[in-house]
Amino acid sequence: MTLPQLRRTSDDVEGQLQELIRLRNAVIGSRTKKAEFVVEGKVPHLVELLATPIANPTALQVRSLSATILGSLANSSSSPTLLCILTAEAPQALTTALADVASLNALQDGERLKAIESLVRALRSIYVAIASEIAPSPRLGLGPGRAAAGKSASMLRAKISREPAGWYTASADVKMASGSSSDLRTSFKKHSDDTSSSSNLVLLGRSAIDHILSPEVLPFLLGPLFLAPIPRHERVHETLREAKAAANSRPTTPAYAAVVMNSSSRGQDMETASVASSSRMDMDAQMGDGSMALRKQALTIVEMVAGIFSACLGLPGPGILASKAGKSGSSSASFASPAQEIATRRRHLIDFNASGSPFQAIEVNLQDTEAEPIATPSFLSILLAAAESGYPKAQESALWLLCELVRDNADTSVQLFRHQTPSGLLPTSMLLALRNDPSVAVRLAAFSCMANLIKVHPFTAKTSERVLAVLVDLLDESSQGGGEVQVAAAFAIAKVVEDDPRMQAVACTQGPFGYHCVEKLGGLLDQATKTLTEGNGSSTSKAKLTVPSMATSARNQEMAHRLREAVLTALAALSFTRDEIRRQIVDGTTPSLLPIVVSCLSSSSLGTRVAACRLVRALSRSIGVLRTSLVDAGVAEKLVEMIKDETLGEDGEDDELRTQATASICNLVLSFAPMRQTLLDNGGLDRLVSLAKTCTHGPTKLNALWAMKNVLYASELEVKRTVMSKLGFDTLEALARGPSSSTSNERGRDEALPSSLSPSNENSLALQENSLNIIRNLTSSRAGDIAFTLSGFGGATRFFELIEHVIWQRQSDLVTEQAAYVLVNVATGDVSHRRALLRRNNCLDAIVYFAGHPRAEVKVAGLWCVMNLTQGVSAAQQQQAAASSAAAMQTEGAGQEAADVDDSTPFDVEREAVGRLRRYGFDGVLRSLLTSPDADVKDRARALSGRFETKTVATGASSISNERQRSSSGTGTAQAAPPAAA
Amino acid sequence: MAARKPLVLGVAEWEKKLNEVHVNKDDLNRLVMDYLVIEGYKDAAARFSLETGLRPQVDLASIEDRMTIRAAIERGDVEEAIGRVNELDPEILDNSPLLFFHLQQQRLIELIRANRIGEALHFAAEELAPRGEEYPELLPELERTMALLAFDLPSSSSTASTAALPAPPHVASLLSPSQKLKTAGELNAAILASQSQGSDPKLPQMLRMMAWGEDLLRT
Repeated sequence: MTLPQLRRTSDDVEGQLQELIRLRNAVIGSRTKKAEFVVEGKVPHLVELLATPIANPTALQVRSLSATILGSLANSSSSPTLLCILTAEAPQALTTALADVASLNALQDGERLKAIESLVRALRSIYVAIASEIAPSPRLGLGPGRAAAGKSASMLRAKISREPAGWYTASADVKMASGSSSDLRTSFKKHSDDTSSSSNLVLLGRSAIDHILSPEVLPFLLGPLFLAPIPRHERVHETLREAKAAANSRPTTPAYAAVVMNSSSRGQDMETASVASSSRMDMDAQMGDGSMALRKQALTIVEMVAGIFSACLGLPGPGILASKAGKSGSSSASFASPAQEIATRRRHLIDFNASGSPFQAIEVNLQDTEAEPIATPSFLSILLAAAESGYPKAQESALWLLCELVRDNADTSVQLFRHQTPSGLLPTSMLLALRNDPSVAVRLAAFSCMANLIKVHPFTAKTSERVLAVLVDLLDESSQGGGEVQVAAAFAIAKVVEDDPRMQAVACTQGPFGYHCVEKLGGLLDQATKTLTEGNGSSTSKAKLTVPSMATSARNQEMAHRLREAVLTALAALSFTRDEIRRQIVDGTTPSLLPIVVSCLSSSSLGTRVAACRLVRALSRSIGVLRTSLVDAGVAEKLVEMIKDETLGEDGEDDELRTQATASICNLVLSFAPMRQTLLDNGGLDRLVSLAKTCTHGPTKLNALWAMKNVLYASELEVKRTVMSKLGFDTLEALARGPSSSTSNERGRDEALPSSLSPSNENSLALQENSLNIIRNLTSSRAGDIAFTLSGFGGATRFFELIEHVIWQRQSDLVTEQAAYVLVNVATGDVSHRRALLRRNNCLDAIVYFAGHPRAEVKVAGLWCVMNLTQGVSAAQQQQAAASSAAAMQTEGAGQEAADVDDSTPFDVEREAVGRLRRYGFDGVLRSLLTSPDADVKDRARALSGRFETKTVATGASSISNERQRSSSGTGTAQAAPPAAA
Repeated sequence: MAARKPLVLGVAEWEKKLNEVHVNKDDLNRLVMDYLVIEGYKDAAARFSLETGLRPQVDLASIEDRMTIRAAIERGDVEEAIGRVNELDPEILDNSPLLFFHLQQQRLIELIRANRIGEALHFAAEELAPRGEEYPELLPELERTMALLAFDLPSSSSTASTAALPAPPHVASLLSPSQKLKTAGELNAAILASQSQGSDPKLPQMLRMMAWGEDLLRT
């Protein structure tokens, strides 16, 4: 069977139609035929047919058929096919055709609906394909990752050996159509470049999203939502009625009509059901093309449109990418940030109502059980009506769009609460009532939506628990969708328990009334892992016999990968705060989960690796688990391997992996010393340093610095030397100077990033904060450490200049606090260090500034600084000081600062400190702090006040306070707390 | 509760009790309508609707579509059926690869039945082999179908016994009408699902459930 040739001329209209029908029937369902068609370069012709002159009698049919074929081509398409469709500008042609239909008012209702349906169906197909191509799915996670799709043949995208799947297929054009596909393969291989094609696809995809959400195009997409009132299937009547009875907690009559009456009397725009009772018996209305058929067709259109927007609502347009590629006119480029762009889109969608529709609504006879529709239905009211329509596919689609609309968005949820569903329920009551829906897909969508809602809006704990209960039940639904339900349910559970320690505990309750999340998720992880090992290991018939439903097709494998990702993500969210849950995961399951988790760290699927990293990080927050189980399981080595993986690209997905891996390393190096050695021995440190130096991805760079900060925390001087020999003091200085003075080279690099990735100002401040924290850890806690640091920065003068520069930038309180602690640490040094500090007027100014700072933490740091500076020097300290300063002099090689050291007796240093600080007005500030509302500040100030009351420091009396202060000065020099970054 | 003596009912008593159960007439009508619609009795559904004043939840034209498709498969015209399904909803066959495979398999069976061997081989290589590659779990089924080529087909003109090498039953069964019915049923269910309809009528389900319950009680 060969594919019919497409005729471009429309002389023989009937023949052209027949060809299109044959073509449609040939490609639907057959990947090979689709690929063949694409390779022959026929996609542009098809797109041209979408613009068949409307005067042509068969124009609408030709357009519909072409749209249907395009939609089928896009349906789970390979990347090259999608690229081909986008290059031919199919989305633009489809929306133009949609606008044409809007302008034709003379059409029959049925014809018009059919035309609209095929166009929006094709659009949905294309946009769903774009979304899955360019971004991780909000429902199904990150998946195998873009890079992996090209690398491993087992993934879904490289499906069949005879399906031409290379990028060359996309560049085939009509000239080549005569050649066989194998010729094409060779001829195009050298011309096409994988990465440029792939980035081109991302760009075109984002532009297409931009197109469909632009204010000019949007009405043609949203208008069809208002073509006809949404029907409601009788199967939901009971459910909704019960929910309403519960909500009103007043007796209701069993008849559904009574419910409608109730709701219409509630001041809604509804009028009492006007029943054309004669229509009951009107056989013609039922037998003929009854209005019900039209309304159901209109509902299908709602399903398609909702599908389009739920796929691409959250995906930013090309933004900076487009301007970089020299394409102007993209509206997304005008937004300050992707978040703003998406917020604007949300507003456009939600503000839309029937009056904005360019389509003429169809006249329908309402059924006897229905109220009159609201006069001017809004976008949200249509979605709510579809969500409770009782037609599962439309319900599902509308619910997923609602789910995306309220995701991380409190404003939309408030807007939603202002509505009432057509059955007279509050939106949340309706969603909760859907827990009884027979369709698994509807339950899943409704409760994923609830999961998003309870995160942005305060609900009672009881509501959260009801949501959790349904989602946990969905984990047991194995029958449908080959695991898709469990994947989405696990992600939704992760969402529900995220940042909510109470719900985390509830989810992991055991016993007869518990939710058993850890066991259930663990079971799924085990099951998915078995599927994968059986699939990969040997596809023997034996394996197939035992698990017939889990055969080795690429689809099942992909789902198993996604299931592992989802489960690991959920477990990570569950164990983020509670130690007992970490214990439960590590010790309380059979089979033991940890080995599986560790094996997931080296999974072929990117998403699984990222999620495994997340879980390891969550588990590593418990020192007990970390020291024993995690280390025994060999996590450290795997993580180091992961960040050393040079095959990772520079795109967003791989960055996510590195971010998570470095975050896990942060925890591991902090409280587990052997991990430091692993890191140092395996070249992991070099990788961290290079990430900190050159990584363009803000969060990864930050984590790399953070990890280094933790490596340095309470480390030996030897470790400090090693780290700094790799990182370099100049790099550290540049980072510590902060964003305003970073080199132009680095800034240029940042700007080359897509807008969504470019480090925000916040991130660069975080980098600065961490760099200062590194300096703080370097200067802790012996004089030798301080001497090493000072000389590293090129001497005390340059060092203090840097710190002063940072302090007087007054960029952020957090940065100031770290800078203050650097001074605190230097003030613990020997006499020479203290004196060097005391002679910096700017530093003394800074100390007084700290003490008067509005932020309590900075005040405390300032007070610690003074505490250390005015501390009496013991004989032992002096000796130590002399020794280390001698060492410092040697390493510095220049005696300038050292010369200062010897010009007065060491005992004078504390007196000198008191005197100089007083001259800078410190005692006044100190007095005001004695009544500070902050207990910590007040106590420190009191402890210090004695030293400034008497003129001379009572060295005799200081021995007791000395002791106390030294022990507490341990906390004063305390360094970085364990990372708590999200 | 636990202390109570189990209630034993004789068969007659049970029947009597059953008869006493009042079933809402409206509910019963709905069940019947559900059955008629799903099983595709369009005229009966229309008549029933007229008599009971019950509106079917689907437009009756869609029943007709399904029945035309079912009939096409039953007379062996798979191509026609595929065309009509695509007309109805172009995503059904794209989204259910298993169903699509079964339709293609049916087409292969029809080609073999018609003794168009060359075409059958070409079709198998062109269309079915790629499906098998994509979904390895389908391969055994494809092999079984191809096995038809190895045996003599029972032809209507000669009696089965004259065939030199008759196919073993599990292969020959592919040629039976029940195979067509199976394929047609699967397609019907997929269309119903695409129209947000239940794919199994409720009435037989309930009867089965009741029979099962009675069985349980009897033991």
